[in-house]
Amino acid sequence: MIARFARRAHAWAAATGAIAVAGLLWIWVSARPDAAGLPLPPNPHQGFPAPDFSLPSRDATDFTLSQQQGAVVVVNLWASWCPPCRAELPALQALHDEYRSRGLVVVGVNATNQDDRLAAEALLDELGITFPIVYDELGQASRAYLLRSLPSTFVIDRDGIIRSVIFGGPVSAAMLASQVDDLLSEAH
Amino acid sequence: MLPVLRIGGLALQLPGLLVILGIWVGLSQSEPAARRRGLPAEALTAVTGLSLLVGLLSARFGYVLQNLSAYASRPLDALALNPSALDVWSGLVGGAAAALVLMRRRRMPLPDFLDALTPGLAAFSVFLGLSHLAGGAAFGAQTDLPCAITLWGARRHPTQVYEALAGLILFALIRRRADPVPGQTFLLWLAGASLAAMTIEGFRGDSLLGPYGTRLWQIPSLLMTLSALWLYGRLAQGRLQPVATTDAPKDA
Repeated sequence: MIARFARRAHAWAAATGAIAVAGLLWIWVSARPDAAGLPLPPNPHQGFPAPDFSLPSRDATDFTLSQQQGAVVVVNLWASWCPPCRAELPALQALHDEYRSRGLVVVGVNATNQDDRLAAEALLDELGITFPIVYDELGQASRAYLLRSLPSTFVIDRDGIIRSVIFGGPVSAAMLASQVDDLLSEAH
Repeated sequence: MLPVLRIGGLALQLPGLLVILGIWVGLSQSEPAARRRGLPAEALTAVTGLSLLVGLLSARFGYVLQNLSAYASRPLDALALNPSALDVWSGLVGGAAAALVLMRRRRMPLPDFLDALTPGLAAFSVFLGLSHLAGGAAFGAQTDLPCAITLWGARRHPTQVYEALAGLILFALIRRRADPVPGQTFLLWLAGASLAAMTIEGFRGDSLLGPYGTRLWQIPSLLMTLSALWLYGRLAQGRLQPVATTDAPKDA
């Protein structure tokens, strides 16, 4: 039926024109001139503000994510029993060493509610990890970030917006470095 | 939303799994379509599979090239199994170039190849919508409609479901379609899929906005729809001949 209709040049042109007009009308109707600048609720998804957390860190001080605004932050949720988490900790350390001076904060959130803190400490010592580590004893960050698999990594820009989410691992240092490089170059 | 499917101790990324399933189902739909058009089904599967592989490798190569400074000191990271380190445009260009070369070597005319591929593309788009639903991607704007789903802290248009439904409708319409001129079935699907994409974009909550709040992706989608319809009409009216990638007969 369509093929037969398409043979009638004028009718087909008119139908195509009608679709063009209807399409333009829809583009105009569905535009959101008021949407720019509307605040989004915090969510663990690309494009949303990163959910905040405040947790005790390895050096006994509190680490609060919202206090890091202005820095690019890599949040990595991990546990000592998870092989890919163990495998990617050195890559995160390398990232911390390379980019700390340019304004990068790498923070490892140990899912302590499903891990053994002593085992986690031993692993960090064994690997020589020096970047900030916080302990999520009650699952506060795990809940806020809807943790479903370990490791999970969130790359957050200078304005506190999640720009990349990586489920699973181990992540490669080069891939993280490429993302961080771009974000560090962006103005606040 | 279910981004990770846990089976025992195994955590599978459901969105990726659905995409792979979509490719498999798509190919299984394209093979009979190829036979109906007199094309060797196994050649279509080989061309598509190899093109996807080359596309994937090109996407990684493009990503590494664009981030050479990050990879220069860690070259082995270029081989890491990480779907985040891919450049879509490099993948598309690489995959399309591979497809053209392979089609020529297999003596498959482009319009017939695209027509045979069309039911597969339509089936794949259903799984792409489901993959977006599983990952919470391509989410809708806030709404109070009864069909709304709760996602990212709000009641939203189930745009991923709209996507899957549109794909399903197009699949049903196109599955056994046999247009008189090679290339027409593909063009009709392309027009329908672009029109659906433009319409659904209007309900999205994550659109890229331009001047006056215009949803930017709607513009190329509309242009694609109109171009496909125009070409379909030209082919139907005999004002345009389908382009062949080879001068040899397809069953040679």
